[in-house]
Amino acid sequence: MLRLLSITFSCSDPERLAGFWGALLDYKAAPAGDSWIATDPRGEGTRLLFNRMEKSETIEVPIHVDVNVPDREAELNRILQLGGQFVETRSDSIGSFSETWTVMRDPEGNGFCIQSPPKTPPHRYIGNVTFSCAEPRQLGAFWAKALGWPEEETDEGFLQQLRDAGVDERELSGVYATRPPGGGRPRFLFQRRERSRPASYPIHLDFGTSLRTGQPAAEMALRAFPATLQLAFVTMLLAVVGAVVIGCWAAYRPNSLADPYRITGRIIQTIESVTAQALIEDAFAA
Amino acid sequence: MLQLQHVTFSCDDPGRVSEFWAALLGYERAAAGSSWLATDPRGEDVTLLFNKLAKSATIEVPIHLDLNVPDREAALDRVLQLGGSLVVTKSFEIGELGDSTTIMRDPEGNGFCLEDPPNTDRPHIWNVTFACADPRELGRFWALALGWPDEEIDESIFQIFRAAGVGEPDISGFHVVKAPDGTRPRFYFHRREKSRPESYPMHLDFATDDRETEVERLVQAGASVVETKQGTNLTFTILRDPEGNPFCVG
Repeated sequence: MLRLLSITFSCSDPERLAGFWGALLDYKAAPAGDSWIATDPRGEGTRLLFNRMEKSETIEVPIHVDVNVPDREAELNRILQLGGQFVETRSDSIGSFSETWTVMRDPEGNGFCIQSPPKTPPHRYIGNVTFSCAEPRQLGAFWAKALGWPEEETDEGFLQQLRDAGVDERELSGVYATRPPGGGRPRFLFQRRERSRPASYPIHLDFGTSLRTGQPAAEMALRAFPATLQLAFVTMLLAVVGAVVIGCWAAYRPNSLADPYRITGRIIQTIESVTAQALIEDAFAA
Repeated sequence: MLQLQHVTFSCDDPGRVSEFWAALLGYERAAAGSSWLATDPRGEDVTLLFNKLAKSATIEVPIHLDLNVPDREAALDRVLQLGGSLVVTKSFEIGELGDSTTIMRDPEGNGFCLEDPPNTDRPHIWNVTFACADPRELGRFWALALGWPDEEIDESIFQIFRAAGVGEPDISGFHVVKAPDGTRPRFYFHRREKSRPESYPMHLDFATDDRETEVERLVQAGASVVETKQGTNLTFTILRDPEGNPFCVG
């Protein structure tokens, strides 16, 4: 099974971006070679890694984070002071259901959302890693299997209320969520959107695996170089599997942005990023 | 210059889809071979043409219609009664600006939007909206193609955006071009990534006085020619705009 090791940003100024996200999430930011790492001092939240790497210009990022905050309005102003930008405050409603969130950008333009759902704890945390995708149920099931997480059940009564409000059937299959057993975080959320498929993703996820020893993968990866190689292998395997999935999707939509040339480029880039990751892990362990 | 002649839908069942749109907009419809036409009896708004044609499955259409209606909630119910379906009602706030739009689908799944600005006396097509990568550039192309003025957007809107903390590229995320005499519909462009289907479910048909000269002018402006077709009583050229949206010039 995969374990989420870090959410990794390709950036032009890792120190600046680590400082921003560190302040935003109350994480501690520290340099690690040419990269920066931001970690949760409470030991709960997912680690963020900031690598100095090329990235494509994107309109809307295919993967983004949703940050849960106690007070969305207050947070908006704080984020502007930290150097972020505002996009819009959005509300979606269907019948009597309504949801409000604010879309922001970090100093390098990566979009993210802030939200204050009911019963938000007093601290800030990453609630969701959100994938904008063509087939939320298929892609979500892939990731749930990869992570060994169960699908989050949608209340049948809620779906019925949406149907009663006249909601199109295809919209009901437009969302999928999976989260660690026992209510851990972050949740992986999949929503049906068409997004740009950049050649170089600005954000990606890094995983470890505890298949062989049953040890927590992050510790393993930090402890020994062979484990890092193992991590590299699994990440590469995942990239290839992912590329096959995207390849099928591209074949289905031949004129889409996810054409085979870009995919080849992405595999190469993923391999490069894995190598960079291995070097960073070593630097961090040392 | 181009004059917009129809908004054309590729349909599995042109009769069914034309019935829906005619009822929604108060249009009259008439069969034309295997196609259907729906026209505004007041002669004010754009004609819709429904052809029986293959189309790609799309998630979000690259071109859609925005309808203005007197009462958005009432129109929502009416669309459902006519066989359409609901997607979601979206509201946004940027500083003191705010707006609500209800997104719906027609019986064959084509997305469209409902808005209810003040002083709307009856349902009508207000915008043809293009989801595009570069709204300013694509807007400039269409202003040139239609012979409409290429106006800058009111600077005061940008001031509100900036004051709310909005940065580039979101400030330049939309553009609008409109006929100088106020004729509907306007062409609206917003920055979105949308699916680029092989066969568009909807496209625009234009008339012009001299097709060949016009095609040449449009190619110079950044369009590309797909092919020229000889119909029974009309020759027309299929082109793509600089972002690949197909349209016809007859």
